[in-house]
Amino acid sequence: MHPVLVTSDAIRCPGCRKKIRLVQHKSVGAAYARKWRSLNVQRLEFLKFWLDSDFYNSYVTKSMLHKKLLPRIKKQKMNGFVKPMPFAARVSEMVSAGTDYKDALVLKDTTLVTYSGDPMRGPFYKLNVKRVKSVLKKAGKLD
Amino acid sequence: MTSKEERDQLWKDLKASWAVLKRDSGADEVAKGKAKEKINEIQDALKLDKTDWNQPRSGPPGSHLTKAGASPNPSNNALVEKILGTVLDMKRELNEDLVKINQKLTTLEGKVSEGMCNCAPPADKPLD
Repeated sequence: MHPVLVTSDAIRCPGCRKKIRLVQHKSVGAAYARKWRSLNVQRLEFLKFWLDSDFYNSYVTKSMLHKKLLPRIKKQKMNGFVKPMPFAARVSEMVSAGTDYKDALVLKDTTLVTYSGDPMRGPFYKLNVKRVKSVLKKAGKLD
Repeated sequence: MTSKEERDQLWKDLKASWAVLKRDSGADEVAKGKAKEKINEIQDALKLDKTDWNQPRSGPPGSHLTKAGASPNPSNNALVEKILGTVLDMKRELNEDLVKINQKLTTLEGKVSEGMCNCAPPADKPLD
């Protein structure tokens, strides 16, 4: 394996010096969570809070959701969810968690359109209610 | 609402009870029956949808293990269904391994034809 320093949108092959253009990673959600087979208790509580909230069937941004769920998160002392950045990471995990086996728990949409036809910039997130209910009642089993 | 400690314990108990129902848990039918009752109790306490144990499994036998190749005609023999599910699961895993091996072979053939270079094929358009 040859390490190659990236300084622009292309690298050169260390073997033949050919130029290779680099394309940004376009996968959805936290890639490492795709192969998860089970969710831990905190993540189950988080999904349950979201499911019990007014946002259970709406597209919301991470910041809207954070603001909404923060009181319950603090009350349950869910440390990995309190600050906005870790919270955003937890949502991204839910987008891809267990998707190697079954449907996503949370659906992501980058742009939505208002009733008047204006595009709204996201990204927006929505619970896959059927899948979430099924995973919750099985105590987090994803596969 | 129950306290954090109580809720955490309920979730853990729910996980443990589901583990009893696994095929390789070694639990007998009595223990599995008790686990089912406990699962329903905990689901109730956590205000989750309750699992209906009397509802027949939807889909053909083995479909909970694999989406490929399951028979559309369910058999009444539980043992046969179990074996069929395991065999189909093994078949799926073997197929996945075969696909991976074929992909690796294709990649290796490509590398050999490019004089053992590790880089991707040249771009369609000039990059400079």
